[in-house]
Amino acid sequence: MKEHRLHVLVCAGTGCVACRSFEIREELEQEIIRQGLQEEVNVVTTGCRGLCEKGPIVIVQPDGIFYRQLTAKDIPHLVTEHLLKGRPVKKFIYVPSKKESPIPKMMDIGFFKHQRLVVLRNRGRLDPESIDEYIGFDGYRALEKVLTQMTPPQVVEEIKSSGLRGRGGGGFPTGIKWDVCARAPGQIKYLVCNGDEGDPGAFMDRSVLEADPHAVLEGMVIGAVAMGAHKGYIYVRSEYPLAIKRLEIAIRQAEAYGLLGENILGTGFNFSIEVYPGAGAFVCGEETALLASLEGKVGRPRPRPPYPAEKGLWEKPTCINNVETWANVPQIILKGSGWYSSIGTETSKGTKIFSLVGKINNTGLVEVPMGITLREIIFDIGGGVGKGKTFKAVQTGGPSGGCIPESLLDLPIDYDSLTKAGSIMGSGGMIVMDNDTCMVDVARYFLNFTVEESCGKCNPCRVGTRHMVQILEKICEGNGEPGDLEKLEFLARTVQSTSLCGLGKTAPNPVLTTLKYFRDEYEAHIHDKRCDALICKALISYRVLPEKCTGCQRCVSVCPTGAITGPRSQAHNVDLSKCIKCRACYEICRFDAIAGDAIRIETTREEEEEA
Amino acid sequence: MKLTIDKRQIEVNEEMTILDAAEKNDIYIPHLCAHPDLTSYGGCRLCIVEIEGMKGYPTACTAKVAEGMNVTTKTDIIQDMRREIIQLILSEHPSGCLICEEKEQCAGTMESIRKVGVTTGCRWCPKDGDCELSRVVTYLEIDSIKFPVYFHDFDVEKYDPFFDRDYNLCIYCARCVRICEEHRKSFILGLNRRGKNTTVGPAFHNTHLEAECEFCGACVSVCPTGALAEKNRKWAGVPSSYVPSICPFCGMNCDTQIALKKKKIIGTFPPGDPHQSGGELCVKGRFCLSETVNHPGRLLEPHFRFFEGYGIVSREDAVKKAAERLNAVDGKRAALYLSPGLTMEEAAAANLFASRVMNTPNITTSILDRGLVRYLALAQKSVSLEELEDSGAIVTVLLKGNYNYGPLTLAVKRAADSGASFCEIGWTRDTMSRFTDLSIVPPAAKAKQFFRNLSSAVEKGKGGSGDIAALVKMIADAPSVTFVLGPQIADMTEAPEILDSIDRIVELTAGKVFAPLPWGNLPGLLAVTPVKLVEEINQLVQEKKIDLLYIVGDAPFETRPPVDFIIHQGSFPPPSQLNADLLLPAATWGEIPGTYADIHGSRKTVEAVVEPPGMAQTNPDIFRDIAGAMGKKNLEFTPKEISRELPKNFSLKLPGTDGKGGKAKKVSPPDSFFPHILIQERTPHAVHNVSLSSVVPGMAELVPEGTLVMNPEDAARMGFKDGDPVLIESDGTKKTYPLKLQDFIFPGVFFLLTHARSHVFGTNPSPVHLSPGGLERRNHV
Repeated sequence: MKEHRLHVLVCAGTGCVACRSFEIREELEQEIIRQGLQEEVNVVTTGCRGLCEKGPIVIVQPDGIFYRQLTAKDIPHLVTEHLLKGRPVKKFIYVPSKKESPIPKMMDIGFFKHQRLVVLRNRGRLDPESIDEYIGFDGYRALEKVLTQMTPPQVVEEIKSSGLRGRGGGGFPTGIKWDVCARAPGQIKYLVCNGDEGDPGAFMDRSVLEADPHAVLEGMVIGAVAMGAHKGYIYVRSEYPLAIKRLEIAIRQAEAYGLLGENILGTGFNFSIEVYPGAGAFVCGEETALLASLEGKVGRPRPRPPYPAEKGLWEKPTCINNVETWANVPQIILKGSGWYSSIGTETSKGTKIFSLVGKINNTGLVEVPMGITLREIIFDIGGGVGKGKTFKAVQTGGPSGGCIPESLLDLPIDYDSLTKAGSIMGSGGMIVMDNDTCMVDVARYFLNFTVEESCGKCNPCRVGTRHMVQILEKICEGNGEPGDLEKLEFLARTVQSTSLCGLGKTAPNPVLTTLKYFRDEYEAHIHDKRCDALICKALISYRVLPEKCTGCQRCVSVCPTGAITGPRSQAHNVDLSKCIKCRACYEICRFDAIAGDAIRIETTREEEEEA
Repeated sequence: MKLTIDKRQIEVNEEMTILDAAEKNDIYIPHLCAHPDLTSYGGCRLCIVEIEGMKGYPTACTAKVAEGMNVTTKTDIIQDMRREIIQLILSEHPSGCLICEEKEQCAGTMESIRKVGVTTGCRWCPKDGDCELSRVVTYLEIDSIKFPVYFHDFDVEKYDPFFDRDYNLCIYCARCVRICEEHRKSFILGLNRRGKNTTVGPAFHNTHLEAECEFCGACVSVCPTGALAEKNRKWAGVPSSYVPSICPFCGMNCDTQIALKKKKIIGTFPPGDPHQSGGELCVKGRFCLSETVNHPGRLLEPHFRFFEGYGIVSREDAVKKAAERLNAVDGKRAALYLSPGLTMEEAAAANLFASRVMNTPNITTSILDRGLVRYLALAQKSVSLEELEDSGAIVTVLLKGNYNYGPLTLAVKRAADSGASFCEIGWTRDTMSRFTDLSIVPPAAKAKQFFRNLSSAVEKGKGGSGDIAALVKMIADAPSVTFVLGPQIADMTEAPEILDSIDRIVELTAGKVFAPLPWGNLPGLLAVTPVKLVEEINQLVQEKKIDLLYIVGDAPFETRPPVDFIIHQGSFPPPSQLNADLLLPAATWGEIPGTYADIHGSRKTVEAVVEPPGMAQTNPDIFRDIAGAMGKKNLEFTPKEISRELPKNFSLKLPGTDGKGGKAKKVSPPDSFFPHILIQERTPHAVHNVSLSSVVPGMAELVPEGTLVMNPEDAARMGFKDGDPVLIESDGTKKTYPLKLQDFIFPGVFFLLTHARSHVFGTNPSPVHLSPGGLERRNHV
């Protein structure tokens, strides 16, 4: 291989691609040729780095200088200054906040500093479309070890003692699942990789598949050896075209190298993998629904037991694991279960990837050891909530997770602590909310999602969630009555206890946790008709502060209903009968208008009191 | 296995669900989606229980029993959650009948004789008073719903025959979908869309007809609400009793039970719990019986054809007229046509009447031609359905399975589903077709050659072209093979030769045979009466050697043959162009007791459950009256006398076929002038003299008689549209028929469905020319 003085790594995760990172790569390559550096500088496209908030991201190695939010026109300057003259360009370097000084090196940035990369170890350092680079970073060595030095029971034992638990949300011990499947009678067994990541705001699986597809393949081949399977399926959302493309490239490459397909590494072991794009139903993330979908049926869950490990795809024993679980496997085999179980807490071992989104400064993907506190993730890695805002709650585990309040911020995260707090690990979504969030509205929002995604098979989920939304809507509209909360709570408990599958069982979590931790907010909505977060439209009104208003008429021009009137240079007036509470005037006054903050949103009650 | 349910020690023998174990021990756990014949579904969530050592609330219908298990089925929290769930169901399901405040008062005044006013009850649900949902609501003591109503506002689906569908009443238990899939293996229904928008029905918004539904009615039987309702008894209310019986519409003689209300037959169900049993009936046994028996076109009074037309005559006059005529005619110049649907007792009475009263040797049944005699010889080898189901391979030959022989098609589907290789040879598709390993469309004009080639290929163990070679291999690979024959073969002009080839194949492969008969009791008739070949009697009629025809429930002629007098005795009037002289109304199934026999002589006996309508009498009673009027005093046609006529040893008295009934015809190949091959099909859906399509409107939609049927592809190619009149010309005959397009007919084949006893166009199949109706070819001489 040719030696290069510098490697420029351009992130090609979906987030950065959406921010035109391919354009940047092209411009970089052109500019490097123009400046005659093509012999010295190598441009590599890599998988997602996680800090998608700051994309597109370019890193220059070996120094590890981190550039963020580049545009194509920044490139000539960057190439001249850094690649040619060796002077990192200060204005493209990451700045945590205005007060702090820029941090040039990636590993010094808070977002990266606190992470522990196991699954994502290869993210951003290798080209996911090149098997050679994967092999260069110890790729497929674990498979070699399994095929040449270990017996299948030893592999199962290794996974068992590593303490790895299913990363899809359930947290079932992976080793035990493998053991059941390995012992299940029958010649035909299947492995399935669950990549039907449906939680809004979650993109762990996509990122792993895009950044390091070979790790998943290697994990599956190891599983196949351990359980005696010869056919595997990767079920990926069809909304992830890049992941599907990279997986297919990876499968072709692995087959060409004899690492997949017939006679793997000359040992006579056969295992082939097929990619199956899902049709976009959230419920297909549930394993039995996913298997039904794979069989070509409508994705609806069925009761368990029998579990898929006994009777799965086409009634054959099937081991179904999440993308992240499979991707953990090669590392465990290579570095040993002892190493793996040294990371994490008593009951939850290893690391977990979270997708950090919502009202947080550093949106992105983070991999942290189990047992880390929420505070560390949100404030040290995520950089906290926006300026002038205060943290209110964090919702973990996707739309059917629970909302965890500030008082539990020091909770060490693992499967069991989250369950105890009323939430779930889920696949690792983490939505941060600040004081501008109305918790009743949040519960309504997430429940609406599950209503739309319910498969309709069982009554509690199909009808119960619908009635829960209806009660929440009633409360948000200011029509809540005493007794609604009790009715809501019992209905939520019934749906939670009696639904057929995980979707229904967890759907009430946002309601139950917000009722538990933010009951006063519900009560304010019902009894005082107040929404202190100023979100529920029926409970707020708009007012122009005459002492602040300069009469610039910006608000008059954006108001879609003509509710704001007033001559230039005089204080304006809001006609509440016309106002549709669209927030346009407020936003324009806050950011663009000469006066700034002259429009106030307040709860109806406040206004009444003043009157 | 011992376990405890609600502190009661119970013991069950095998692995079963907690729900089954509880039901066996009379412990009630409310449930709506669970069904004894179906796999666990776990949709309604009403059967939640607590199991010691298990977290949460597992459902009794999905959890299996285990040794030492301790189950509690009823606690306050469980009942509260059940109440919550049933209220959720009721928020989607109209519930006026269940939780109305006026319910009690209303029930008391509902039977009021006043025409209007007070209250007449909200009778908007066909399952009113017979609804499983209401039982659960009563058990859980629900008297109000705390949730707002989500009415689906679906249109009621009335456009398919036999049953209506009001999915506003559906509770998504999916029993209909599952019984169609798991039990009937028809796969017509599915749950479409998802969540709150879920709908039940065939895919792609097809109607049931378009989806090629068999209309077996299993889905209607298992529906716990009024969502699926039989059109025919939609507002008939709850049956007052169920009486076991059999279906007389074909030789399978399936067990049924008759639903009675106010001394009227209001419906028929498969045996077992009428609310649970999917059964094995076909559309005829499930839906057509009550419609036929209660049909307004029944013959209710004796009629005589006077010079100026038909007039109603008294029973005595009718008997007198029959006696006079019969006394005046020589027995050898009279002929007796008997229906193959008569009970053995009726046939025996007819036989007694023929030998002792009419003194005639000329007894026949209009279906018994040479082809059928050959077919019966094979049918006598028929094995049981259990043996059929155990075969390694099944080959069906010209079997149309959609609206026929329910248990047979189910046995074939089950066998094919559990691994038997399966080949269909025929010109139509049916619900068995999805299980085929091999589907062969034989050349219609050269069917005889096809089967001869097949038999020689089987003999050689190899050879033949594509399809034949594949079939020979399939048969050779299977440990055993059963040939299931369709009676359509007997209807082909070259039936004897085709059946000879098939017989040869059966012999060569040491195969088994199953050959169903589409008539209610043909073996019974043949065992009781020495019946002659119909060609032979018809020839006598044509040669004017017969003066009087006595037709008992049969339909031998469409138009009047050259005879002096025709007596027609049956439950429906004969074709008007027959111009029968005397019509005698007879009782039919349900109104008479009697015995039906299968081809091997095993018999089933039914009771009379209702009185014959109008002035109709049973056939033996009519014979008795006429015999009496003729002065034959010593003949009473009592059950005792009749039963003496029944044979001790069962054997079919098949007439010989050699040299009788004229020369055998040959099928000529298509040529440039008659390029199309028309297969004529005399409807097998008939009871006595009447075709079901003519009395049951739903059957007319499924089996459109008097139409030319073809595949839409052919129609498009030839420029025809559904409903177009099409002129069919053969060498000698031309006639116009309306066109019906049906997907399940393979392209290149044209069917003519008629109820005529003889074929309209010469041979079957017949080379014909098809052209738009009304336009004749000028150059044809």
